[in-house]
Amino acid sequence: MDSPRTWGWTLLVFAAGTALLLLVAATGLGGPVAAEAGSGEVVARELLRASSTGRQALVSSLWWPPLPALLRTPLAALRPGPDGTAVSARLFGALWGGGLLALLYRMARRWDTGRAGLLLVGLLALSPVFLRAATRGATASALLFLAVLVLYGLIDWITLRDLRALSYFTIGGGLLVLASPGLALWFVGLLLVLGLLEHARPTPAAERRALILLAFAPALYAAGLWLLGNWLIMGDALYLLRGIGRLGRPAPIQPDLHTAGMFALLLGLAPAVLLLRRGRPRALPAALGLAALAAWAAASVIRGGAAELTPAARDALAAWWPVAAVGLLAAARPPRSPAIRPVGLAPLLAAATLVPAFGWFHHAARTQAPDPYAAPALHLRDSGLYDYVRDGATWPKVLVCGFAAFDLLSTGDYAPAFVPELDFDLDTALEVYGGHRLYVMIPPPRGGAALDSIHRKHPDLYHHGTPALIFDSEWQGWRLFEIIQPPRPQEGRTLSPEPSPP
Amino acid sequence: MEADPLALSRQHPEWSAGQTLSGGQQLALAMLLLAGLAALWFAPWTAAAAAVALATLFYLVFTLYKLYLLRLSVSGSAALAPGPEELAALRPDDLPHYSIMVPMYHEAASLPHLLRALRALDYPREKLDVQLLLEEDDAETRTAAAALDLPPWCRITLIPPSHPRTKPKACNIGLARARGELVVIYDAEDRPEPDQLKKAVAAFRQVGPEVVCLQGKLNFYNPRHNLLTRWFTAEYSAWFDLSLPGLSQLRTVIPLGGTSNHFRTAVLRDLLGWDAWNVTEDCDLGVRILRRGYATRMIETTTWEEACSSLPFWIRQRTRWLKGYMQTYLVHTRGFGRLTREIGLVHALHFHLLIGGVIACFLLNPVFWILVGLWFAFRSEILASLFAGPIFAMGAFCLFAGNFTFVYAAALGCFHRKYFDLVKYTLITPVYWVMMSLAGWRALFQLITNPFTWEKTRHGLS
Repeated sequence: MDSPRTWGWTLLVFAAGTALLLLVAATGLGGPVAAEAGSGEVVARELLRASSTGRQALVSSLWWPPLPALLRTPLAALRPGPDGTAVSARLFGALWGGGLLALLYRMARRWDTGRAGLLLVGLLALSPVFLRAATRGATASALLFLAVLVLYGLIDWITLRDLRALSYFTIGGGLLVLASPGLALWFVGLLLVLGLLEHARPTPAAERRALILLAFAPALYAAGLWLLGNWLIMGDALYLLRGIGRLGRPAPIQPDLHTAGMFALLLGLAPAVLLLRRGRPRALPAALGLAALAAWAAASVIRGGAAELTPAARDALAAWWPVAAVGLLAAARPPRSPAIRPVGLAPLLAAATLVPAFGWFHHAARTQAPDPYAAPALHLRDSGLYDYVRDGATWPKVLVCGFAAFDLLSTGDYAPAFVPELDFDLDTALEVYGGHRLYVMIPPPRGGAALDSIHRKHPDLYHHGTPALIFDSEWQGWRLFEIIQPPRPQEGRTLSPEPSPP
Repeated sequence: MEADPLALSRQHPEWSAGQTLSGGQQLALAMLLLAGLAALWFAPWTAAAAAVALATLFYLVFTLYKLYLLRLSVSGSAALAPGPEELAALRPDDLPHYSIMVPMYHEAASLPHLLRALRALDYPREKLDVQLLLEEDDAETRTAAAALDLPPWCRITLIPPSHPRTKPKACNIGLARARGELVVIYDAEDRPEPDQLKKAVAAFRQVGPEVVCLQGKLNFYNPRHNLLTRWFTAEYSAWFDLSLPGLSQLRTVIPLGGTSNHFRTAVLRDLLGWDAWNVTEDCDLGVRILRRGYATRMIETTTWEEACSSLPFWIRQRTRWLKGYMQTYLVHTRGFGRLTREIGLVHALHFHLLIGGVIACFLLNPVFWILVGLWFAFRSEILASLFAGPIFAMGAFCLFAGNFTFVYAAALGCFHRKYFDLVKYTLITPVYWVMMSLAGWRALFQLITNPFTWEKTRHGLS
């Protein structure tokens, strides 16, 4: 049972961590709000408006899982409107970041790691991945929290057979399924590890079966919910899987050097922490070394300007970072701790560390990798597009296609002229917006935008247009098409040219 | 001491369910009904949307509250758990006299099992005072008891026939004649763990004098009889192992279970015993203990009972329990704000969520199941309009996450109790909830038409 004193300290760490992260965010050291955070905020706002677009955005893509948008809705409700986007996004990141620090603090206390563990928590807090995620409002801050929770739960379950730990592991895993496909796979890997470890124990078969059911149930339920959402909203339970085959298209990205630095930093921490714990004479230099590394990490954040992570690399990192954190905390446990290094824990940590690390290196090494989240950068007002459209007609309506629309529209209040459109259909557009001067804006078919339904359903549209969609202009890769409206309503218009009569 | 089994209702009628609704409550209910009808007349959709919003908000709070209790309960040492060393240190001559009361009615078949269970108790016989509380007109049980060779530490107390014919009335008579410093209630089919009395003594010595009641955990010895007993076992495992310990840790209201409540006799007498008019007198007493400034704690010991295996009898039993919850809620919400003034806002919120929340849940559930079913069937925009933006989000959370939480808690409860083979049955417990709601509506109807009827659970079916 946790004492009120422990709870008090945990709350203090949470509050202080959140406040510090907000402070860093306010100074701009962390960088601008992450593009994916801006998109998530717009989706959350659409959900609160109960719009069809919001519901479609919630469930329709494997690369845009529902949980991040759902987690953003309470804050989006507090600060509605485009002006609140940056505030609520940064608050989101800071709150989850503060929560992560509090969780690590509790782990350090529970595992009796002493000052070394607390120092480690502080150093992990300074790592670039964590700081960038937490100060820029990125979903990664929430993912890191869940992943740490899952691993913490797994280790405590293996070592202590603690029911609370088991529920952290399984429910955290269920949430990961709704939060990130990469981490969902990681969780499945952990389930397999759990199965192997349980198999090696002299556990009765009935207990093993019950445990497997308990472990898998939340993840399967979460996956089932997602499919149900697709069936209800998109009319096809497997809609979210469409477009996976298009991931092979290459798109240039920059390797993330800061992340590589962080990787080296954390790997270097392990022996230092062990030295500290064992009280060897070299502990002080090691601690100084840690401080130097931390300072280097902080400096790399201050330099800023790092490229966006690809989702695969981000997921691999989000999977690896907590493994490193939890593994180091576990290593920092004093030998007298009853939970230290039980049979199977070392291989588990090794496997759970090496696999995502390999995944990350694999992705970092590829300079040509698909990036489903990459939105071609464009600022509507700065580019002049907003004025161009507004000046060109009295009642313009621009349907901005794809998930990138959410990021594009997160930078200001562009309603009612610009609206996001995830599943463009000409007849529906004419029916709903007839009378406006209608445009369709299409992102270039690169990276994540290549997976959008507009490119999937009409592969040539971006390059060649159709008789009903006339190319108007190009804005930093985005193409604006004007919809040619018939003089009077007609039935059965399609994007494709009418077939010639025989 | 001369017994007045109705002492509470005579001396403090405002604390008794003898009158279902006080004058103030009747007025408040009438005004609420009128306001509701007027709203439905003048602005039906707005009124419906407001009602849906309120209900959804309640569901959200209730779900989070249950999660909180679950989190507290699994955090270890939430219940008092005297260890073997402490029990071994108890000297026989240092143990207090212990009264055991067993109210029985038409339960002749249970008598031999009961005596076996009582004989198995590890407690000095000279300090035991067992009373079998038998109704005077229950010739069947009286004859069976007379035919048995009752040990000297076990006696029969006859309960004269009078209205109301309830278990608490019998217990009040037994309490007046109890000789022990501590007293515990068991049902006829109960099988307490042999060291339970010693554990209670040790636990009472661990805590301060303000703790006047220790509630043992209840579970069933026939969990695998049929699907109903499997679900019932899962429910009990979740409630007694994964909810009540959390409440115990919070030192707040604990709705006592019907048996295995250990009391300090003198304080229980001072509290005027049980309310003879309340059909869940245990739940009511749990609240009254807190209102009088005392406390209840959970104790790590189990009494094994028989799970009702017949659906009709289960419905009757559950109807009585929920009717009793309604009586308890009405009794303790008399006097505007009085409960909050007496026990403080936090404990009052616990009371409202634990007692009122359970009632509301079972009554509201069918309404929302029908709404969800209609939406799935027709995808009606009118229904969708009842769930405006944030309400939809909260409702979806409760529907998808809340319900799963309750199912998963039942599964964890079974796992915790080492009923590994029952875990899979918990995945279909929503069917069990339907039966609970049926009992809930039946309870409401009975509260209006026949509030004091005690529908007896038949035992010995397994």
